[in-house]
Amino acid sequence: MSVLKPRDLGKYVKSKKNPLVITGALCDEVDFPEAKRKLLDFAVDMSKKLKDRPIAACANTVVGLKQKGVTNTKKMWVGEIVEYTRDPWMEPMIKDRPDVLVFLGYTPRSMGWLCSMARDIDTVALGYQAVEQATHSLPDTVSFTDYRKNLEEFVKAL
Amino acid sequence: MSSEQDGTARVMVRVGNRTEFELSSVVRDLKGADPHELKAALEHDAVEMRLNTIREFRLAPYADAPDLSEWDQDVLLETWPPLYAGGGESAAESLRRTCLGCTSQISTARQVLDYALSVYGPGKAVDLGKNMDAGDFTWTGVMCGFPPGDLHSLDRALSYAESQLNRARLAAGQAHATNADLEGQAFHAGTMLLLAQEVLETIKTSLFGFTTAANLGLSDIAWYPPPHFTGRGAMESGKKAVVFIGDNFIPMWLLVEALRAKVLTERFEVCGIGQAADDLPRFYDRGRWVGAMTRARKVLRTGVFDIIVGSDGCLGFDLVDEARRTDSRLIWTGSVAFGGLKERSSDPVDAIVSDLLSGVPGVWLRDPRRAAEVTFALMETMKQRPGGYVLGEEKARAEASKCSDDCDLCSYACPSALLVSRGVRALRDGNGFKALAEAEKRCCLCLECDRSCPEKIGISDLMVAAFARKGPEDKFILRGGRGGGQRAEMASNDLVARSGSSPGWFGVIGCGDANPDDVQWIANELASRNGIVAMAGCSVGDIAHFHDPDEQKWIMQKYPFWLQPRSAANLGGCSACQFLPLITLKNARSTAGVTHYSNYVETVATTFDRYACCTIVWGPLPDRMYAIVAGLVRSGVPVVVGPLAGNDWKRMLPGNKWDWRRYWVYEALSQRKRFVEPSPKHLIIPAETREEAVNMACCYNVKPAQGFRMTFLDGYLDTHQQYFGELPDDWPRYVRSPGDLPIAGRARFLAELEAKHGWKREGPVIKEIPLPDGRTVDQKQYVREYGAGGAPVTRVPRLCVKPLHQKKE
Repeated sequence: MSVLKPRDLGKYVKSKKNPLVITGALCDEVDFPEAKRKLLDFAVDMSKKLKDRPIAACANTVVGLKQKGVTNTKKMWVGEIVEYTRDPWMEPMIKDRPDVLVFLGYTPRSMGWLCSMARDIDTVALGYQAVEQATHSLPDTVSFTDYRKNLEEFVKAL
Repeated sequence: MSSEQDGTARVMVRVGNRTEFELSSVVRDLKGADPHELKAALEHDAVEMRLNTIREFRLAPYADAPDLSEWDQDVLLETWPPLYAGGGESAAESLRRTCLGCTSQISTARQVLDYALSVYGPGKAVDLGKNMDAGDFTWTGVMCGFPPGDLHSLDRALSYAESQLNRARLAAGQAHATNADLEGQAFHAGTMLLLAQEVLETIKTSLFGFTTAANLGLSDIAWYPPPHFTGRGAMESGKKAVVFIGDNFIPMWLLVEALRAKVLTERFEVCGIGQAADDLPRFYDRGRWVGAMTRARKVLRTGVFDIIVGSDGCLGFDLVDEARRTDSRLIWTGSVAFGGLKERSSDPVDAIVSDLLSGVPGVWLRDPRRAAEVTFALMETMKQRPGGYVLGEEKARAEASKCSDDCDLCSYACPSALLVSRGVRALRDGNGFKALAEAEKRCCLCLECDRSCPEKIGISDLMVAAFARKGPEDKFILRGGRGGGQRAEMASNDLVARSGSSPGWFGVIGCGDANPDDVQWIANELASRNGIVAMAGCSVGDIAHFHDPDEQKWIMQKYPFWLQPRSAANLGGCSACQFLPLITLKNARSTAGVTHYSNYVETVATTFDRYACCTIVWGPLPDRMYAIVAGLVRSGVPVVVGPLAGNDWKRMLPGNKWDWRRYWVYEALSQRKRFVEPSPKHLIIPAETREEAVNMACCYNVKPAQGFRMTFLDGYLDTHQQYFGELPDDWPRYVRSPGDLPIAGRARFLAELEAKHGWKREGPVIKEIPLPDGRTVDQKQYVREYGAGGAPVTRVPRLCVKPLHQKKE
């Protein structure tokens, strides 16, 4: 596990050929009132910056993502995605096996849980605290404001 | 042991007119079961035609886990292999957790049974009610091989469960066991828990007058038992209050009996938390449901209870400490020591009461009679406590004023991801306790926020204050548990629900630590979709808080308790979870003539692919629920657990819907393997939101061998479209012909199958459909090759139909 600066983590994800961004329930719940943004907005930004790479919209996030203009997305289940990683990749949304799973919208505890289940694949945890079980994760913060700043830097580097 | 040694060789079983066999030919090892008892059960229950139809009839009385491996390992774990969070030890950890989850319930069953034996003696008859017969003792029958007619036979059943739990613990320590072996043991331990719950429920209804629908005709079940107001708001101020917490209902029952005998029920408030809260309304309609076990600490800290009576259960905190905090007196009645309290069952009541009044915070009384006597005496003599246990608004605001703007560590620490810090800051900024309402509603007072706060703000005290403030409004209609279903209900359900009017059976259970809005929404959503909703455990009280503003009815006034479409039935407390798989266990007997005595595999395998039955388990869960889920999935009830945030669910049993080779059945006539739709898609999968949970539950209920698939598929597709704005990506895999498609929108579905999924048609005739293996075939061939195709199916080879030439032999 390594904790990377947001900019470095952004560069790392950008360097990957086939990343799969996974959006979880907190994308619809966490907002940043001082910036008038939702966590989901960062998923939209990531989709744009990653040149319309697919977003696996878990929980209910597919509704918001589509409303915000993301087209390369569909409703998926996070438990199913981690299950797919232990078999030859068959999920048709993304043709080849992803080289990294990028989790956004999960508690650090849930991300730890999910990252430890995923097999033979890199994982990135975009949480408000570092996740030991992830291959790489954002650093610890003490406030949502810091977390937002981290995400902004991360997206900028994509 | 040879058959001569165990006596089976001498026992001939005669079923029907022409079938006779030696018991030893179907029972490899009796394991101490009485062969004559098993013979009698079989001769009464088995169906000749069924026996002569299947390839091999095999029974396993007092089954060990390996006896059922043809189901556990060859079917369940083969198709849905476990996926663990964590390292290589996880299968063993999973088993240890299951064992831990079984322990308190099995221990309570022993406590209650021992009490019943001491009062009534082993010969005391037990039954399930007027409209149930011996064959309705599901778990005892299926695992032990006999219908328990008295307390002695319940004792035998429970002893078996205890010994099996010991073996499971032993297995958890084996260094070289495989995951499959360990998971088999976990399934088995879960089954033992359900068996112990049957023992408990039987004693409750048979000997202690708990409400049960088993004595009623079908039409009378709907609105039974009658409703009553309960909740913290129903408590009358000025009355002394005692609260019972935990699984052992005996001290509570004895106290209520004493109050009734002395006509004092109006003078005192008797309340319950956890299993006690669910049991209380089943024999005392003045009892108050005040909280789920997982919220016990929050309820206790409101300080309204003079006496706390605790017993074994899912307690995760120090009751002695909590009693001290509110000057309450604690009487611990559990089976093992707690908090350093001295066991004083042999002391005189006066001496115990005197000590408690003079400041001793609590005592341990294993004897339930003595516990009830002391509780009663304390209620009469205890003086009013000083009070002031909850912060007022000004003090709360002063406490919150220490919160700084640039810190959210309490939100980060919250296992349920509640935005605690925002609530605290809003309180600080003068928005009153309503600022904490959203977080408080879901808060279980785990105290992680307190621990994380660098300013040492007592956030939990703020939560308790906000919670206490809502007390007077916390009043709702509850109807006590109705117990399990009658076979007549199942048969009636077969006529109604299976003919296409219901998306199936849905268990909704939990430990009361979820967002109450979520469990209420789930139960109401499923029932309003014509589902048959069965609720049990601590979440029932949360669900009962739902008030429909349109109909101006509480949910327990809105939906009947019969197990028919559009119902939401309270089965009872945690021990009523054992009723949830009844559709899979009872219908094998009712519809296919499968005797259930010592016949677990045939029983569940017969209904697994046919009956629409699943369970949603909602909320961060104690170990007991982990064990219950193991027992449920083994009995053919796939489970959705959630929400993911806050959940500590470290083992899934997922399928892979794109791996079509994983999902198969045997055509029973030919023993040919047939590939079928991914059903059930998973055995255990987490959901993140309530919408995901309901949608996955509806998906689970589309089964390969069911008729009238349109209704079930409609449930899956409609919920997906409604909640997520699109069709599920795998929906074509569940369609075998246009007849499966919901009538509303059928043309649209067909058009989409043509446009996106390779179907081709000419007019109304389907000409080409792609099979999962890539070939394209016509409609006739498609049905012949894919799905159960209306033929009898099974997943266990020996349950296939015997070839004709063998029949003649």
